[in-house]
Amino acid sequence: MMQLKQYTFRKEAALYLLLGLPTIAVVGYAIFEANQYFSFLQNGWRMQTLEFALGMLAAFSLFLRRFRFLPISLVLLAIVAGTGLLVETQLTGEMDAYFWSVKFYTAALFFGTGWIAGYGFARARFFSVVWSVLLLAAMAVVVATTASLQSNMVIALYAPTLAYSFYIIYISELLRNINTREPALFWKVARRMLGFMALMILLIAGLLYWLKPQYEGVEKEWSQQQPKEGNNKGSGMTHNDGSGTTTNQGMGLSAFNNKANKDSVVFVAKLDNFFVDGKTPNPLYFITDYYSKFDIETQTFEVDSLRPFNDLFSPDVSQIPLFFTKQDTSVLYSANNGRMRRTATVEVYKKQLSARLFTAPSTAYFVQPISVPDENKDVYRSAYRAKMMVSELNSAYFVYNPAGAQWLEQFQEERFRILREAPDYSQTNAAFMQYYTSMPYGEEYDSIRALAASIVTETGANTTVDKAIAIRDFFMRKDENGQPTFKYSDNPGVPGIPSANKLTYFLFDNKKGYCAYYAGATLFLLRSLGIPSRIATGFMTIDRSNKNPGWYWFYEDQAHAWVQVYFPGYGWIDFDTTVPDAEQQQAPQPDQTPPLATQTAWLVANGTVVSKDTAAKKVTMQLEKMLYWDQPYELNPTQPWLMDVSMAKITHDTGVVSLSALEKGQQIVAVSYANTFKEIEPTEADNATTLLQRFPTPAPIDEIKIMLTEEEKAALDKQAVPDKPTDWNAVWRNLAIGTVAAIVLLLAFPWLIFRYLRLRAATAGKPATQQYWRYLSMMYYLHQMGIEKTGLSPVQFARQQVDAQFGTQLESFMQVYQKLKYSKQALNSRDLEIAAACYPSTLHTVSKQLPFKHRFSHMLNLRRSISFFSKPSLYAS
Amino acid sequence: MEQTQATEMAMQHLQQLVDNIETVIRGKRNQIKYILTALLAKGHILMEDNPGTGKTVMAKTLAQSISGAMGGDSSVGFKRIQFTPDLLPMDLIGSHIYDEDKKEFVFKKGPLFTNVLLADEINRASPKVQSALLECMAENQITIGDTTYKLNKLFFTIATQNPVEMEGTYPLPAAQLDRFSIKIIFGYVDETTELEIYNNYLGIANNLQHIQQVLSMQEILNLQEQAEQVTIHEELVKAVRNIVWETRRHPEIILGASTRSGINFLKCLKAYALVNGRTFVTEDDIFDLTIPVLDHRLMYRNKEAKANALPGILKTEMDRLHKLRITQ
Repeated sequence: MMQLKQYTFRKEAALYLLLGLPTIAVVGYAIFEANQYFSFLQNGWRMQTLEFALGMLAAFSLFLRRFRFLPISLVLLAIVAGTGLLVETQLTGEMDAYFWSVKFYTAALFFGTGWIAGYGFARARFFSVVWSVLLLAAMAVVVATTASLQSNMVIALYAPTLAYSFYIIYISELLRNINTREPALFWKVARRMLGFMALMILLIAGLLYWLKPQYEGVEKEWSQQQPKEGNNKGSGMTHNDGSGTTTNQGMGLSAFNNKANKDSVVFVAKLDNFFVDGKTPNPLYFITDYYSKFDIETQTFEVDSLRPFNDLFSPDVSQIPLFFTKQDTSVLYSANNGRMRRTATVEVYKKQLSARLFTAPSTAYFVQPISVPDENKDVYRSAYRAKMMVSELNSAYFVYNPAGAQWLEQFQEERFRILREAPDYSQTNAAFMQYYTSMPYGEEYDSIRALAASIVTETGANTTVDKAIAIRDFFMRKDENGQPTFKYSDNPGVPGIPSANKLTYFLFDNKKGYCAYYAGATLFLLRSLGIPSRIATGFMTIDRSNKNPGWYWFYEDQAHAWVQVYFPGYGWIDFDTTVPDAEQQQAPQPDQTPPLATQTAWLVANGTVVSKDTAAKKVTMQLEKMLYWDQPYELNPTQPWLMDVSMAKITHDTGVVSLSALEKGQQIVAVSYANTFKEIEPTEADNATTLLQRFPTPAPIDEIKIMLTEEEKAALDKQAVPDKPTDWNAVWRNLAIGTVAAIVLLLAFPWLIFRYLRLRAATAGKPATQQYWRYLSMMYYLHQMGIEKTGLSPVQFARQQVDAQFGTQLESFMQVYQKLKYSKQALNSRDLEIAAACYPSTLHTVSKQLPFKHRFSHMLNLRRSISFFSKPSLYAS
Repeated sequence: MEQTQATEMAMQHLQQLVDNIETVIRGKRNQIKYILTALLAKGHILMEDNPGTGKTVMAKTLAQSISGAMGGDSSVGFKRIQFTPDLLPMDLIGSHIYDEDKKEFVFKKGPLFTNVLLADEINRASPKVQSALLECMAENQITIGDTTYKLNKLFFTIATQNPVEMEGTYPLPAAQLDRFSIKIIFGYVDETTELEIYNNYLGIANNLQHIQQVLSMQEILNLQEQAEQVTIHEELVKAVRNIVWETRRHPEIILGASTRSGINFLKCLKAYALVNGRTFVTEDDIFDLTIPVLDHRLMYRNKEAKANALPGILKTEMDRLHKLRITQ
């Protein structure tokens, strides 16, 4: 009896240490990952891992003894259900009932998962396989939904789980068959563990080293315990891809996140928006997207590409040929903003910003890619000019930074006065109102409604703008000690607008957050007051320069989120309610010298090269369309057109090239800044043909840009990180490739082992060692082919099962090998001859007699090869 | 060199012996080897099977091969006792008989005072007789009254028994079974051999009459000494230890193997290697011997355990040895 106890104790200890701990670690990692992306988990991965661990260990300790699964689990379920009911009834009406019940159910979920896992490991033989598959699948889901999928990043994410899978299958098989009475058992096990750990460390170190050049961020993440952050599509701002550009997805949501680099310029813009004095620059926030639709499922606001009254102009700038324009005036109609608006232009010089991205103050409707001046080519990758209808009431100086400037206070007072007189929403389109004020019902939303109502009642605000100001003041309130009630916090959260329960937690309990929290909470408050509003994301504009008025520098940490409120007739106006970060001691960056102003491109012509005369520096192109004095003209049919390129700078994607690079058939864009064209002003009557006749021949050209062919574009696209939401095709493709590769590797594994054994046999130096590897490779091969040596002695096995079936001479080899193994005598030359002859002939004969189909299918069987190496089972009959 | 020569000689002798026996007993090579193993390991053998499978003939043939047809002085003595329920111990060991001439009791030696003893159907005798025999086997001596009589230096018992289930048997207690080094199930011959025997039974009977003596007593004793010299690898000793230990731990085995049986196991392994023409023990020997040597010493919980427990232990150990990497 004593012995039996000892036996179970040791085995149990081994199970806890070798199966339990790694599993908890890996699951903890998975939960940590999941917490980053599923808001209902509420950032409690430590607690959740603990719950899982408890469940698993409890199940382990019960089911290793002879408890039965069903009765105990039923009892457990009853307890959970009972407690759940209690929680629900007890907490009704309380503020955070939802919060606690969600907490409770997640706890139950994780405990239950752990429970089942514990049961599986304790009782079910092949559970480790099932478990690995499930875990890999879960990882696949996380990877597929979150990563912006660079194949090597996928591998980095998969590798630990994959390695764990191998480990867990191996170790569970090992433990199942382990002879716990074996002397030095723990040393043996420890050796295996150490080996595995060394392998893991090597793997991870190798991966990190490999990824380092491309992903500087990875290292940072590991050290900050925030894996994958930089790879996450949501935190685009901090993500550099191979080409060094920045993507824009969810921009601003991680703003002021301590990971955003304060020294890293994203782009530079020149905005010609000034106050009435015409001298003081009026900065405006730059918008990339709007979050307007409440998603019931994720309980959060999301980008809605199908939003009604869409006033977002978001062209893919990289797809527009240089100097050609794209405009969409329908957004102006949708913006519905006739009053106090004027046209402003902005020039954006991109540094890290993705070439595709368009960002501008609202409401933009026009974009034209422009060339970056030569002197600045090494700093800025691309540039565009945009036009927008800006509101004269709009300004980045809205909430808390009049900074004592009297003119600014006056401006604010003035604009509040105007907005107070704005008409109410009775005339506003019902569908518009319905969409932009929609807010779900439910306990926690009711609590927000109550809060909004109390804020308004307290301040007595009755106009929209006063209500907005009241909400701003609410966030700025100070407690009795003079401390602000709401604080700014870099709380590392997952980018994206926080979910509803996080927001209620923020509003009522925590009162700490970064911009997305303030924006989200403000939006709820506004909407519960029936004010049409939405979250805008983009860049906060800070005016730091008095040297170059109108120029603004945008650093990574300026990514931002705020709200926009709709005023009938005046359109959408920016409101920013984020409180200042008390702890942030950000010295204003001294802005650098702005890029030189671009010359005016009078003529931009687009067509195909027909011929070139290198000596005379003349090029003829088949002219297809042109842009003259910002007016587009189409040539139909196309016309040959002679150009003087003696002064022209010819550029390709790779940089400046010589005239010889210009080839027939290439698509080019020719630009002229020549004064000749300044003098030929187009009239209403002109069309393309008449204009061409008025142009000098050959026409002086200053710049030629060779357009990329489709293949080149595709090649470039491959390098760039897709900054579309998620390219699902790519996701699934990569996933499929990864999975197939993993499967192929997995399937080829037994064969690789066989090759390895044969290699060792072929390269062994000492005859004794050689016999060992020969023996092992033959036994392995036979085992893999389904001819297993189960408990027979080697000679018996050779005689009865191999030689009898295949007519081989394995028995004589076995006798030699046995002699080698046990006799303490050296092998004589005859023995060696026998061994040398038997080894190839046995393998050859066996493989010749087995049909290919049999050999192939058996060679793929990984489980079989694991069973070859795993320990024999103790009492199997 | 001398050692090698002696070994070669011994092997030759053994081969002759096996061949000799095979002229009479067909298709029983393995059984012959087990019997010789028991002989060389200075042990005793128990053969179990239904009547008529050739147990007695086998024993007789062996005895004659080493003693010549019905003996001579220099040769090995052979006695056969048919055990019956009414057999008394004194029928085995002998008794004091009043000598009229000397006017005293003299000891008349019983059939035990021989070299090769065939104890036929041992389980038909009463326990009293059984224990008398088995005690002699263990002690190699007989004590009657004050006098202790030594048995011969070469004393080898071949016992046969009918399957325990048969009627009119007194099953041997486990403790007594322990005295037998090896117990084998004799078994029927295969179909081909059986036909061969039918076709040639007259010739076979004739062969039995004219069995040649191929080994002398001295040679047998030499062989026994040679067997002690056989090499056994440390790992195989460990394997024996493991198997013995496992029998003690196995939940389905009530009574495991004793240390004595482990020692006996080692002796048998060495002898068996020699019988197979080797001077070293291999895993094959362990595989072949574990069940004949250990099975009859163990007490199982039930029939199923009897069928599975020991083969399971053996299988585990074989698999361990199979993967063992031993380099010289």
